[in-house]
Amino acid sequence: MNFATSSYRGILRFDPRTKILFTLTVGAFCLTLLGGNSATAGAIRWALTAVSFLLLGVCGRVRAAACFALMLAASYALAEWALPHVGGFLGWFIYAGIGMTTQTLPSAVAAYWLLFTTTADELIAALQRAHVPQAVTIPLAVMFRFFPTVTAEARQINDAMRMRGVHVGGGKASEMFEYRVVPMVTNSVKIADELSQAALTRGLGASPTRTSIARIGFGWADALLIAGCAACFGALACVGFGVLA
Amino acid sequence: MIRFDHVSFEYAGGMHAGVTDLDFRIHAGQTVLLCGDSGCGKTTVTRLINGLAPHYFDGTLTGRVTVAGLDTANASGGLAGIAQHVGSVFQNPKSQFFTLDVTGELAFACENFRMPPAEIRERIGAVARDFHMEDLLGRPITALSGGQKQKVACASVSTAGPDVLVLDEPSSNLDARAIEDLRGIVALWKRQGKTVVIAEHRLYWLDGLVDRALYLRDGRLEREMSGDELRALSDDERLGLGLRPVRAEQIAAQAAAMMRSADAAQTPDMTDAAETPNAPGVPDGTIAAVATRTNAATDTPTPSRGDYVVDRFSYTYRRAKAPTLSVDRATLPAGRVTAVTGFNGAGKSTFVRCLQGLDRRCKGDLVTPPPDSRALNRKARLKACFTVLQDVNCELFTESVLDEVLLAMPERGDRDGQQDADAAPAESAASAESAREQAARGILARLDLADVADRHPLSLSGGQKQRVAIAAALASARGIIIFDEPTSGLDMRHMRQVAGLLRGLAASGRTVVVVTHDPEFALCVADDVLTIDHGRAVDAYPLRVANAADPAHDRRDPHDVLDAANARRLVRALTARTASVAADAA
Repeated sequence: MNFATSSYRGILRFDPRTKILFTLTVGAFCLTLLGGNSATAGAIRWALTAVSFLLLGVCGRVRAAACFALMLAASYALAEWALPHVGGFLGWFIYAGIGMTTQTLPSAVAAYWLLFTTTADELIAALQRAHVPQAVTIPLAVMFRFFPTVTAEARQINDAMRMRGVHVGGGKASEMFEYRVVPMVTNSVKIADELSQAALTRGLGASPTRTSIARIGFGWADALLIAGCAACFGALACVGFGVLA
Repeated sequence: MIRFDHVSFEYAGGMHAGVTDLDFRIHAGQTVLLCGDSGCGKTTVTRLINGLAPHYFDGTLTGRVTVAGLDTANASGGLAGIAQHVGSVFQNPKSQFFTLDVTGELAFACENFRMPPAEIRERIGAVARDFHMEDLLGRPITALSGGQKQKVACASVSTAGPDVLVLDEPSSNLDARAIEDLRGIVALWKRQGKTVVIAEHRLYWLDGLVDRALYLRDGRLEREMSGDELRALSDDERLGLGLRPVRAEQIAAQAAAMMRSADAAQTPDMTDAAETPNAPGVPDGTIAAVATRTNAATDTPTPSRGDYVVDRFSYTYRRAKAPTLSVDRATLPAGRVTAVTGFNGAGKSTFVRCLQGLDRRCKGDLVTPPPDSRALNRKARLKACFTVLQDVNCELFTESVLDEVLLAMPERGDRDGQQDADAAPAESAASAESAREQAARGILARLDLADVADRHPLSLSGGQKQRVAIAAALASARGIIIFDEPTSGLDMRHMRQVAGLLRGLAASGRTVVVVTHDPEFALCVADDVLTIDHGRAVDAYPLRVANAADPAHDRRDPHDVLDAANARRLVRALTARTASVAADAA
């Protein structure tokens, strides 16, 4: 779960704010099933799913997009042809699996696209433009900065434990949790402390706002996607007023 | 540019030693070295200059520190105000980056100072050109080597254009090439007229750059030298101050002196001329004696027990076609210390990870010395070797030092355990448990840790923590003990202590493998050298050779005579950028 480390320079570029809006829209319709079982909501879901896969493919993850699309297609195929013939526990199991896949996959694809094409810098800059205060953006930045560090620490601690035979099936499994957590916490605290020193000597907090070299801003692509999202919600409102079915 | 007027600083809580009555000036454009033992107050001086003391570290400040006309204690804007004038580079590359990519890191300080984006981009371009690092721009920081990270750290303070630069042990984790780059950066700052203050243990790389050296002891300024005076220090005087070599050519010359002190460590009735004047004050000053005890307390050393042979080690990264590491054959003489050297990223760490058996992707066996000549596969090696990690904080798990040793000790009845030889199977569990504890306390006593046996490992000093890790290695009763960069950031005295301990381990029959790119340390610790470059074992040679024929050496360890030609070869390989390791091997 890491942000991109270099900014995306492909053809279809979006502002991080647009990407967040789109991801939330997909989440609302496909994950939380906004709009219920109406025909319009179903159409919106299909459209949003298709656009998510398309965006992921266009930004360079063709293979990943194809794999996810295949998974989704397989789920629907199973639901259509296999499910009616299987009953009992196995049937229930397949039904649950398919439900989970079809419901979460589109949102996961949209989130993947958001992370893959956005650097932490761009996200922070975008949030700042949206007038989110530094009290929120700086901790957020630190959090992203911390993921790789904590992973590296965990790996080292794991090595040290394996040398001592503290691993699953090593006869000392009960200590596993405690031994992993103690050095993890102390090392993280130490790193965080040194990190704050480095950041403060580079002027973090010098003024309530920062400038940013992240190239963000709205373009035609953003207008298109935002209009699309707005249309989805508009259609939903029409259903509510009884204009659409 | 920098003025200290009778400055004393005492840390709140008294966790660290502070400084007392410092009174000096540093003029604009000067490059000043802060030197002295660990804990002498070097780091505190750097913190007083960049404002971390007293703004980040609480404490009592008396006197006045003025930097670029600012009274640091009362500067408007606090730390951020000082930050516009003072750039800081720290020791640990893993904790001084705030962003995930190089470009963002270079922009970070400028963004904080609200410079317009167009100007920031221009500055980044200029600094990247000056530092010859255009190829690094836009790359993720986690993918960089230690040397590249330190370069990025220097560049990222440079972009904001401060007049004063403060570096706290910047070379600790760097190899010869990266140090050479760092030297280039300091030289560049000097040409640009910046004021540079460097706190450092490794000194040879600053030769010719230092205008002045401030020597601190116990928080006081004890001696001030000009750059020329520092260069002209006699060996005796320099060793008396506890300073590492100040010129590259002194490193090889020092090897002889190191040998004498190593002898002293092995032979109880010899005192080390270099260590005695300063021995007090360092709590771990009894290392010579410790090494002797380590030696005496264990089974008698049997010289020349053959070699461990590395058989077709290879490691291939996921998705990579060709292996990153490919060592067909290499020998690790049993009961001796082998230094694995090479540049950052040459594959040293991968090699020892493979040796330890930590990685599933690693192929190959380790063949034990004859007569058994067993081939140890990865799983067997996990139980036959023990690695003391570079960051010992990652291997202190328990609530007391004693538990730490007990954890590493093999379970009762473990086939490989030598320690259990006296624990007869008929004994009750309770008495076996107390026998284990006895053995553990014995090991702690040998490493001078007996009086901290019940303390929490994290409350110890860095040197003590390292010895706890070594105690755990001893307790593991494994034949091969591996050390990954055990001396990064140590002063001369501590470096020699570690060397003494490692030689003590070898003398007691363990086979020691130590990864290092520090030529000074390699010379004082190693019997044999294995050089790795681009994942291949490109060179192997003995550093200490048997010389039983010489009657003058009869009281010493048979592997005692330093091979002068090979010592020079090692220093050449580890100090000079131009000395290509591969060419040397040919």
